[in-house]
Amino acid sequence: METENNNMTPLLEIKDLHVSVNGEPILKGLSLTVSKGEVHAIMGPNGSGKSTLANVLAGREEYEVDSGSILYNGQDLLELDVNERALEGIFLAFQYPVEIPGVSNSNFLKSIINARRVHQGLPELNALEMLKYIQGKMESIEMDKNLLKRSLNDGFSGGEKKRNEILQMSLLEPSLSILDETDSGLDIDALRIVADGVNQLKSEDRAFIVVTHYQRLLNHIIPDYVHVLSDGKIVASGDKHLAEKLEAEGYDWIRETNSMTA
Amino acid sequence: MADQEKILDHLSEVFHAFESGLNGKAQSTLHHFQKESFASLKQYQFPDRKHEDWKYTIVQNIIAPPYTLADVNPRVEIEDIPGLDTYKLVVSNGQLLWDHIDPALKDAGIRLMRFDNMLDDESMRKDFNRVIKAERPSSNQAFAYLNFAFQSGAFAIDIPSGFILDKPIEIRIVHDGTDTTFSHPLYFIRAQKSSEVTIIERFEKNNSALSADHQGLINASAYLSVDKNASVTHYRWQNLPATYRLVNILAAQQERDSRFTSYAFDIGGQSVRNNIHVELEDSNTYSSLQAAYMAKNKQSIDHQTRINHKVPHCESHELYKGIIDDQASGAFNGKVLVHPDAQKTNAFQQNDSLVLSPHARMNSKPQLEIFADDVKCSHGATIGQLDQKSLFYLMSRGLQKEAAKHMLTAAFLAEVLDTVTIEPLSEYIRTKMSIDV
Amino acid sequence: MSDSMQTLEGHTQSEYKYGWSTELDMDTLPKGLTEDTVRAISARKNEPEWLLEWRLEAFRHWQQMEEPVWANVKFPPINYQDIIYFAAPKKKLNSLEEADPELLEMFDKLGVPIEERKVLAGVAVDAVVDSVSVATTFKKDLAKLGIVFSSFSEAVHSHPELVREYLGSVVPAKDNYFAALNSAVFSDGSFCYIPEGVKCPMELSTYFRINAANTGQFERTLIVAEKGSTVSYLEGCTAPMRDENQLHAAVVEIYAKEDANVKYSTVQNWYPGDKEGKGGIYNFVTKRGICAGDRSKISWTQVETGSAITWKYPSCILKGDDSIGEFYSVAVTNNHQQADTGTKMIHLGKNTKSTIISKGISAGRSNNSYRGLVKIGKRADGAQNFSQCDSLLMGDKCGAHTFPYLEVDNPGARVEHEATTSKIGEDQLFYCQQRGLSEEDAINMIVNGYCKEVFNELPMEFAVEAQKLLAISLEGSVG
Ligand SMILES: Nc1ncnc2c1ncn2[C@@H]1O[C@H](COP(=O)(O)OP(=O)(O)OP(=O)(O)O)[C@@H](O)[C@H]1O
Ligand SMILES: [Mg+2]
Repeated sequence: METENNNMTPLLEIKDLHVSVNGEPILKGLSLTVSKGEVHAIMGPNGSGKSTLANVLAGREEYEVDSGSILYNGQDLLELDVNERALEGIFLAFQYPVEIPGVSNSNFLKSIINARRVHQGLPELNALEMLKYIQGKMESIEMDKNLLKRSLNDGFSGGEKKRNEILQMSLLEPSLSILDETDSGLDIDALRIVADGVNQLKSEDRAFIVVTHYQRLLNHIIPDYVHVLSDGKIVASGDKHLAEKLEAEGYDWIRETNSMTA
Repeated sequence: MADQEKILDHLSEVFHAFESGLNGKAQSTLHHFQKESFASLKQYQFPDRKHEDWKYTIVQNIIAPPYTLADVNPRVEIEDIPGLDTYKLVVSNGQLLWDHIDPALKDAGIRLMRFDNMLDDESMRKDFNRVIKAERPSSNQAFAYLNFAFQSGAFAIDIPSGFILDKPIEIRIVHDGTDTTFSHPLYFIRAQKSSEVTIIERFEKNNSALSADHQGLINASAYLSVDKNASVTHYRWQNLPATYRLVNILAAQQERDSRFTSYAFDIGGQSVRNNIHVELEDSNTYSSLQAAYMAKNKQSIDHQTRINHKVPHCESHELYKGIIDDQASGAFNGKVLVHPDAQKTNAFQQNDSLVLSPHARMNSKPQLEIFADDVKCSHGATIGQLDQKSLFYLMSRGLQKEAAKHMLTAAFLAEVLDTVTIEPLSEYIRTKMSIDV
Repeated sequence: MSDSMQTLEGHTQSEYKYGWSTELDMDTLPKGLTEDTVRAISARKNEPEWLLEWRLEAFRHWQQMEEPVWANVKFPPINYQDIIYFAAPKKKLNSLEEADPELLEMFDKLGVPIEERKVLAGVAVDAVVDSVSVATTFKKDLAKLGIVFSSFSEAVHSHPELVREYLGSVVPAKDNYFAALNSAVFSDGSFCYIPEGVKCPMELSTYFRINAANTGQFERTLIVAEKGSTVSYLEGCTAPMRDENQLHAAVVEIYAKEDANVKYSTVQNWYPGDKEGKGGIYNFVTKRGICAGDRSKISWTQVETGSAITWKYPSCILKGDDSIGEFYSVAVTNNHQQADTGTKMIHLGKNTKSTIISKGISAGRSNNSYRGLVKIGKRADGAQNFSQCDSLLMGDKCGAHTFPYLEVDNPGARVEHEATTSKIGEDQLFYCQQRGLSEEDAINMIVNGYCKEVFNELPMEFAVEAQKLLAISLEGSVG
């Protein structure tokens, strides 16, 4: 689906989404609208459904959409296969990046870049152009070039895996990037690099959904909105100050306010 | 076992003498803790030779001498590591020397507290208890209880949430005296959410020691609580006099998204037993245990590691490299437990040894117990000699045999040392470890 | 089970491509095995007396032996009297031009280049159908270099002294149950001799095809590499789809002298049986090489995708000092296939080195075992071994087992062993697809990546074939 650059249409529009896994309801009426140029942070207790949301957007099959709708660029996202969504510009930085032994990182990167280019009607990059393109991006996120020769994520440290996710994101230049806890388990230096990667990609026509447990990421990637996901629903939304309050006070106060209003 | 009774009888005497010296503190939380610990020691007893984990270090040899408690020697002299900027603490015969504390540490933004104060601080005590409980049961618990029972000069450090300590904390540990004595250094470090801290622990010879050929046992323990998303790096450098025995326990408990890295470098001591235990409480943790050691003469260096994977998506690495020469012996016993729920575990273990003399011995026993099916685990053990071809090659280029040997052993240990990111420290260790190879 | 997992399983259930059979005019012995059978085979081939005696001795010994029982392989008892021990296309060939057009067509269909005109550059082929060799190509070119490359029966007549000297020198006639059976009834195979200092300029290749029904195939390959010679040898196999099980009990012997270098590659694609486990080849093969001379090297590479049951352990006896043994293996099992394969590296000489890389892939309800022995003898100072055994599981009804045996009698040896077991799962597929790759590309990428270290060891042409074969046995025809 070729996209009309219509600024009135939000990039992503989720309405009353209900999702279950193995018959167990996980998302229970979630609505969220993301427009181009925006950064949305999603926080929330463990098991509240953050990764579920990310996986549903990417099209993972074991997540069953029971009701509700997801529009992406005004079109029904649920119609598309996983790789079609990717080719249309949805990128998921995995909470646990997957290891594939024997598949060299460089080979993988080449394949995914060219798959996207072919989809966009662009010519494939030749080996030299490819190398230049990849190495340029690697430099900007201070990634060790030796990681290109190694197998995809295999034997990478946690930090290297997360950086590799950011590298792929920078290379594919997606319209909607979903970062699922990309900051978890990173030292402050690595955290800055990840944040830089996101900030470099930020533009008028891209949007980000950043799932995190730790407020300190949001000192580096300034969110336009912060949402709290609890028990499958967004229970509070605000700006970056909401994240600070959550860091200091935890989630209990939200649950209490909620049960009072419920 | 008769020996065991004799040893415990002796220890009881020493313990009562210790208690009677407590004066007004007899009703304190600390004394309660000491008494309980001694009772536990009597109940659990020391492991005997038949115990799998104690096959290569003979407990009796370590614990049998009639040790008494060492008095504190306040005069401690240790060389600085050139170019290394740290917050320094000194532990002499098990006691933190408060007047030796780096003054800068006061304003560093962390909390340093006496052990007895820690026991009275509800939240610290809770965390401490959690970590020591996770350490048990183990074949080392007798030594842990022995350490607790004789506790007086221990300390605790609390790193607040989100705090990133700018310099490593250097803990210098010495032991000396005139009789046959033991000491029981202990500390607890709590690294709270998203904090980062580096510890450099140094077991060294006191250059102002009272006696040069003093016999002794250091029974040291350290406990670490690594909270959510926190990062703790722990270096241990050990270059004790050749008359000392050392039993060392390092136990870390890791919460979600946390990182723990441990390095152990041993070149000193007579009989050295290192126990390290990592307990993974929540997912997405990273643990790395590495060691480089060199045993000569009749030294024995024994590494026991245990990593407990209880939850999914955790990753652990172990790399232990040792050089065994003369009549020395080395042992490595690495346990990795992967529980049924710990899917997507990545656990890698490697133990490489270079045996330089026909009388040197190395025993390597990797133990992977895996009860989950979607995991990636590997272990490897190599025991080899210096590669004669490489040696010949270097000599054919004009190097003396000793220099060529030196170059090859250094290259062997480099795999570990190259990953030490604190340059002055790795430089110092390189220099020390290559002395008279 | 999610959709993507179902497609994965679907892919693993594609059909065997070489399952057709050809109507050839055959000369066949009746079913059954007695001394007379052995004599009849020998007579059919005009063999010298010594060879008949050798066969008979093996046969008598075999009769005393018990069929081995293996822990991880299960099959109903084989009725050795219900097998045809000799079947040959009737037409005698003087040149390929005379070949039965049906036969040529068969090889065409298999994609085996036996017509010299059409041959891929640099591969000489010996084609074996059922019990006999039907065509050997490039013989004349090779002969100019002193290289002997011919069918076994021919070598018995043209180079009797060589055959007599080396036959059974690496795998004795009484070595094991199936080697003894083979020694008694082997019908043909390939013989290859590389003289001193000669580097064989092309890949030598044998192509085996079981065509006739109820027939066992018992071929023998013997490779002798003189001092300082080099040869690379390829072997490929297919068989028609038949409901009954067919027995294949081959023997391969390699003798390498000082500084000789022999590379033996196999792509085994015998009919594996159908999805319910009916039919298929029992592939019980003894392959062994001896590095008799100092600094000699034998390297086994195998890609095992076929057979109902595979039992084979290509081995190296490292007798010469500084000799090298290598074993690279990909074994794929699917549906009800069983494979018990691995290697034996016997280190006898000083500074001998061996490398073992084994990659098992199990899909369906199959079972895949690696069984390997590394033995370091008392005098093997400085011996080194590195073993890596990886298992890849597809789905959750299959099994992977690893049995490394280490016998080290020399304290100076250096032995390393690594093992991993992993699953190709939804996670990996989802990850690749989330980056825009199609499902088929993703599966291809993952499986080929896993086997890369072994494929790298194969000669170029074969590596491509092996990749395709893997794609077929696991995925169906991918793009
Ligand atoms: N594949 C699955 N099968 C069964 N249950 C699942 C599956 N994936 C998620 N769940 C369940 O759905 C709930 C939400 O999980 P989800 O991973 O979305 O939480 P999360 O908010 O991302 O948590 P965390 O902060 O721990 O990453 C949890 O109770 C989890 O156990
Ligand atoms: Mg999550």
